[in-house]
Amino acid sequence: MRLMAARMLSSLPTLLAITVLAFTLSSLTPGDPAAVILQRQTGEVPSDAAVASLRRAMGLDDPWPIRYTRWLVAVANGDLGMSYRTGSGVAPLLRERALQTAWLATTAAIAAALIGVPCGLVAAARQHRGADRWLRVGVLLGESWPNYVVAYALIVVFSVWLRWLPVAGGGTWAHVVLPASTLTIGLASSVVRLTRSGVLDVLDSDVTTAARARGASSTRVILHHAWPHGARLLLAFAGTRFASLLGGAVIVETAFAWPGLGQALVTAVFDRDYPVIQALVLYAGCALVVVNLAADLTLLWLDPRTHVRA
Amino acid sequence: MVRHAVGVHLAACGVLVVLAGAPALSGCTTPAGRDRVLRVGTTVDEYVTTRDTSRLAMYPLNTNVAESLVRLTPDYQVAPGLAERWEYRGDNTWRFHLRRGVVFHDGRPLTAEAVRWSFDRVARSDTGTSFLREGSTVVVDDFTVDVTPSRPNMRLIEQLVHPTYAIVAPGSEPGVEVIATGPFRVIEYRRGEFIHVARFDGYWGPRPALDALHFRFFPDATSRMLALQAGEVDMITDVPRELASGLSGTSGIHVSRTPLGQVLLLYLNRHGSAPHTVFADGAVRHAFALGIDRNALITQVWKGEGEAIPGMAPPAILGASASHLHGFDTALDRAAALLEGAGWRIGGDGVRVRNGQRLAVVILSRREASMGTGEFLQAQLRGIGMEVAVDDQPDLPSYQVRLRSGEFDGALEAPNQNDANPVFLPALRLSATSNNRTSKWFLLDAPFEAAVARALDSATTSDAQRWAAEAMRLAIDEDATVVPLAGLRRIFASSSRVSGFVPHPSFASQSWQEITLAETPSP
Repeated sequence: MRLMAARMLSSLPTLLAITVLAFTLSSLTPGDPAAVILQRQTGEVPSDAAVASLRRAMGLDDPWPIRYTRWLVAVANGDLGMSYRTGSGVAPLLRERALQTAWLATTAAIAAALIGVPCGLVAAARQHRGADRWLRVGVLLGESWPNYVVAYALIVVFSVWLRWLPVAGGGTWAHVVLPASTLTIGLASSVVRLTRSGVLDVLDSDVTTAARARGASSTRVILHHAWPHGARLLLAFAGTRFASLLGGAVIVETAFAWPGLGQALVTAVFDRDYPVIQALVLYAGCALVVVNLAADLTLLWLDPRTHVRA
Repeated sequence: MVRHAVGVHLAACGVLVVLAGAPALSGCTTPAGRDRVLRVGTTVDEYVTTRDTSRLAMYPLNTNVAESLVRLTPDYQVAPGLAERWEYRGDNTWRFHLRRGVVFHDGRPLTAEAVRWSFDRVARSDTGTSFLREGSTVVVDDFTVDVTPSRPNMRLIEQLVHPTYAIVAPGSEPGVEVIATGPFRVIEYRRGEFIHVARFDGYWGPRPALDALHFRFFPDATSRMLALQAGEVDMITDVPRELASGLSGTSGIHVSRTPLGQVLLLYLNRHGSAPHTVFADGAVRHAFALGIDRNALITQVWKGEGEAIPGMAPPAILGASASHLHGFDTALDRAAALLEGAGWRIGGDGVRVRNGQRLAVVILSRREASMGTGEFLQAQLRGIGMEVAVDDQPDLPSYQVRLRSGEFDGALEAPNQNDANPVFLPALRLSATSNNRTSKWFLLDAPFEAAVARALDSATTSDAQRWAAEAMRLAIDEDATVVPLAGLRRIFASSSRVSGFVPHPSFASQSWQEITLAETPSP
């Protein structure tokens, strides 16, 4: 319990660093949000007076430390500010988009685990034999194909040719299948590779030799002795990957017009919509910290020896 | 243990099934009845929806929900809109006589008060060059209104065609609910996803044949095209030029192009500080302009989806005066002679040198506007011994910063002509009277300023066209501060169900109300 509390406390400086990063990154991006907003309204280059007036109204002329402190205090009070472009609160946008991205990410992660773990175990059990060879080729292809290539290929086959699934959009079960599948292909390939290598590490050890000597079947050796080790390795990897997916999958969300965080972030960056950028970067950073913390704690729970090593 | 592992696996499968079949988190995005609903796939959602300045459903995607006092025809003329007629009353004041029998979507009648309220709202956002201020609009009676810009502006009528000046119901908040007078009314808007508008049966003009329009935002052009091929949308906007010809050959898909409405221009920095001083010399500017093969540019980079034009705007907007402009023909020998005459000699690596300085220029561009034009210029101008570096900025804000800094020799832009004001671009980008500070890099001499002033002050459109053409002639043919590269077309594609679509050169004035949909695709 003390260790868990210590881990949580150690995350606080990271979170604070993330707030600095979130705020600084948006402020350092070249371009004036006031000029962008004005030009978006009419397509005309705005007058300097109009830009200066809007900058004042938006509080952009204040020094950086003042703006940062004001923002941090507001965030601590649950106020993420108002979008420059919509004039509405950032928090509802974040909630809505985070839910969509979480739906996509969770579907992809579970599918990747369901496909990747059994395949990884089979590959380990049949090392250097037919199934293993085929799976390794599959892993190589799955990890090397860029997401947008996979996305277009899936759209052409399942939407244009077969007309089974919608090309793009969000909100229904049918819409999630193709973007989730795109993410799953790369993710599942990594899961297969990690599961296989994690299990193989242990299969050559004294523990499994002893188990075999006691008459344990190959399946039992893999599932009972080797897989827990592979699972730990996988969990460490999954924490980071899943957290980054929760922050938004820009390419996949754009290709499928999926209304998630990745797309919202791209739009906000093009608009120099600082409050939205800051909130999304902050959320992505927090997701990374929280998910990694959860992964660490799960590892501790699964293997208390980690405590000793730590 | 094995049973346990299998159990976990099955449980996870169950979760996946539940997730895949999860009830809609945000509702269905495709309209239920599709027979008379035109589904349009368009680009990324760019609506600004802040309280005072919302352009929701109006600009840049005009869903025909709101109307202005006047409208822009496809040949860049002004036609009556909510104003039946107008007249200039002297003292910088315009009087508009409103159309009677027009009602807003909420049933209220259109009155002069609505015009005053709408124009004051525009004035508060302080954008544009119309010089409207709060108080510029005065109600004369229920159907008559006077407009007096804060500065002399004889081009007001031509500017008011822009959707920015759309009339909305007094007291309404267009960022929340758009209550206007157009043939369609907003039913639902979901940021970044879609906007759905339905026919307004109380419309004063011809009733649209369609029941509704459903615009979906596809940030990715390839997905947009695939959505059309999959039958998910009936029409798409902004077909990438490199893909248009391929799509033309697809069965059941029709590709249509607008008249010229976008122009690809290079502004040359005449007043930069070192090292960006090369174009201070008129001979070098002319040599640069003569060293470019525009037809090759249009064929190779823009895939033939444009035309070489001599001016800064689509020729239609200048009327007969467009013939006063010549533009630049490719003449490599003349270009080389001009550079030799200016003291630039070919160096060892093929790049010209003068007093130890290389003839090297930086072309600033925006990636989405350039589409490889910078690289094309790089290759072409090498032929006359000029070295070109391309400073391709990823987005509009970054481009604006570089432009303001003056750290460039040429700026590549591709503006759209969205109003009927023929002198709009010369006045905004090159004149000392412009309220935009980046014009300082391109300022021209007194005759140009005089021509711009005459164009702005002309009482008739034909006079304005004549003086605008003269200003362009001075900026292009005489001075080579502006190098027009091409006039470009916007490309649409639609399924064979769609008919009656007339592409407008200004997307901001695109009309959707004449479109009809066949029940089934025609062969």
